[in-house]
Amino acid sequence: MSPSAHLLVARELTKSYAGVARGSFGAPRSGAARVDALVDVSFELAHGERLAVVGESGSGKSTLVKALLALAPLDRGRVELAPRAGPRLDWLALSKRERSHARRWIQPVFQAPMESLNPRRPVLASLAEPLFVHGLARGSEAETRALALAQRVGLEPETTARFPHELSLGQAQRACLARALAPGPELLLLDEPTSALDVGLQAQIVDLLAELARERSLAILFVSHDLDLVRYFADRVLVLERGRLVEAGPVERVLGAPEHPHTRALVRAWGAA
Amino acid sequence: MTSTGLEREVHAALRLFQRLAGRVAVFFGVSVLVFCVIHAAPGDPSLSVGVERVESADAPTDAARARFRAEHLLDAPLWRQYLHYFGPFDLSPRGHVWFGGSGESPWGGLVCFDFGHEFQRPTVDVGEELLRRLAVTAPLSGLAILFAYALAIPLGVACARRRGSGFDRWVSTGLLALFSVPAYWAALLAMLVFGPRGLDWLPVLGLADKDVARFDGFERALDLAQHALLPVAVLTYGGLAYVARQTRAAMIEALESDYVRAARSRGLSEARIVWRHAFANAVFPLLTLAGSLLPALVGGSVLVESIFELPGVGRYAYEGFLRRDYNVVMATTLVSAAMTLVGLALSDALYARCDPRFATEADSRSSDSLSAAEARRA
Ligand SMILES: Nc1ncnc2c1ncn2[C@@H]1O[C@H](COP(=O)(O)OP(=O)(O)OP(=O)(O)O)[C@@H](O)[C@H]1O
Ligand SMILES: [Mg+2]
Repeated sequence: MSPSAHLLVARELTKSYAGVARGSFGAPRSGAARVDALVDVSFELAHGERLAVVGESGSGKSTLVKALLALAPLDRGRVELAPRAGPRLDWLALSKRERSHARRWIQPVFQAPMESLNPRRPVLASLAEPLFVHGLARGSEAETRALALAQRVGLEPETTARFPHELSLGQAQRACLARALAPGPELLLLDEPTSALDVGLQAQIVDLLAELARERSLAILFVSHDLDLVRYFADRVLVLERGRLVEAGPVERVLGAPEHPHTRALVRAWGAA
Repeated sequence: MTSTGLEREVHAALRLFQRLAGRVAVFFGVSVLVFCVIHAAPGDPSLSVGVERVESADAPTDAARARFRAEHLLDAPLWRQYLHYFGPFDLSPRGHVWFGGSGESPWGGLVCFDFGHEFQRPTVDVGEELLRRLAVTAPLSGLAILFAYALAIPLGVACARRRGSGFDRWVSTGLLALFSVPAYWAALLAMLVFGPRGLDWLPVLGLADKDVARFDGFERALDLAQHALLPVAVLTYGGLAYVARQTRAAMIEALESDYVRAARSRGLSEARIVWRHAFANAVFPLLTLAGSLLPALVGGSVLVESIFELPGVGRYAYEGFLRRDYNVVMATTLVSAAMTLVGLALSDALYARCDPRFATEADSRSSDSLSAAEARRA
């Protein structure tokens, strides 16, 4: 694959957190062991590709997502972003202002849909906001487009006039999805996007996600514990163990014939469950 | 949509009404309690019956005392005294004929907004005097709350945004120190430092200069502002520290919420994230604090008005206690109880108007009926 085919190239992402040991009065005790959440993680993501990230709890998956969203600073590492509709970017090194603009290319959907909607705003306001913030539409046009987006993810117009607490969980997740799509991203980052939903809802959301990804040739990076979902949905998979990338490759190969003992253990544990 | 909108309004209104009824009950409960407490407290109001009434001697004569006690029902059982106070029947010797009175003044009592007369100055109607005193206390307290919020909110927000930084630590420590300074101490210190004995920048007693009659409009306003500055500052600082700490905590919580994380990842400006998303969610719990600041202010005003010699409700209460004037003590206590309850009711009303969750929160029945409404529409 030529480098230009890559939407995102991550190099040596590294992050450690201060150890949790606390001294008197809760002051962090110096010398407490640091936790390596990410250690030299490098990978690529092609345009329109669906990449899954798996690993046991605490292996650094959420840290990776937060790093890619530039929400938490890394100790080291570089992320290059090459959206089709925009210039190539050194994503983590951008100035605040530049990054605000560039955020439209990478959009997240978090695990808890209710909590990620502002409780004090009707859903429609949340959907329209990214449009005018990124100068994509204003006034009534933003509203029309937000309504169209809502329709696309299966929300009735009258549902969008409600406040988040008046939505069902599935509706809230759809709203989050529509909001993520609003600025026209090329990459969606999903941290366990369906783990809060029951099985029937999960299937609906996943199918919707697959449709949208095809329709808009979105790349998707998602974190999941559900290996069946990974098999069904992803093209490639990354396996993390205590912050280290231990295996990466096409889903059938990695989950079908795992090479690393940790991957094997994960697959076995999933099969046994 | 309209049906949920309407239902939401109805729920909010019902809830407010329920609370209002509860508050009225609390108010009368407080009146009984205070009544019992002050009558149980040592001291005899008839001992301090004023020189005004008995010109001949320093101490009241026995006859005068007896007359006084009969007039104010002080020898009647407590329940009868309370009923007399509560109204609407006047149970005194001059009261309603049904209760053995002369019928001169058949009606009266709390329910008629009649707070009685002062024990020492029988010509002074306590209700009217209270209004005159409120005209001093209410503006001072209002200003104190206003200033407390105007300063506390930017401070609290700034600390929350820079939490853990040196700025945050210094401001938080400073506020804590401020919060733990007793009001009387601060008032005395302020008098010493800024008053005639210190820097002599500001007048420290009363609300007006002795020559105020000769001043024109502007001079009068300036004089008033100068007199009010220190009392208001002393009333402000405790609330300021309290509100700032609460603001900081509420903002930290909001800034760490998922919706703020989501807002940040959407590329909104920092100002928009902080004010439109985080602050908009943090501010309403803070407004309800205003309700709980009121009682503290009333308590504070007793000290501050006594120290600065301001003719307000707080000082009136203090004078009433000293003279064992039950009518004054009851009236001032009830007014502050009412103010507290009204403050709470106001912050509830604000909450109901501004928080979309209020109508359904903490009441599973209402959320059931919401989904019922949904089902009906489907
Ligand atoms: N804010 C933080 N402060 C200190 N340590 C942290 C913090 N966030 C994460 N960690 C630690 O970093 C490591 C990786 O955490 P992370 O949340 O990325 O794991 P994860 O793979 O997402 O786990 P899970 O599957 O449970 O969500 C863990 O050991 C965790 O305890
Ligand atoms: Mg996680």
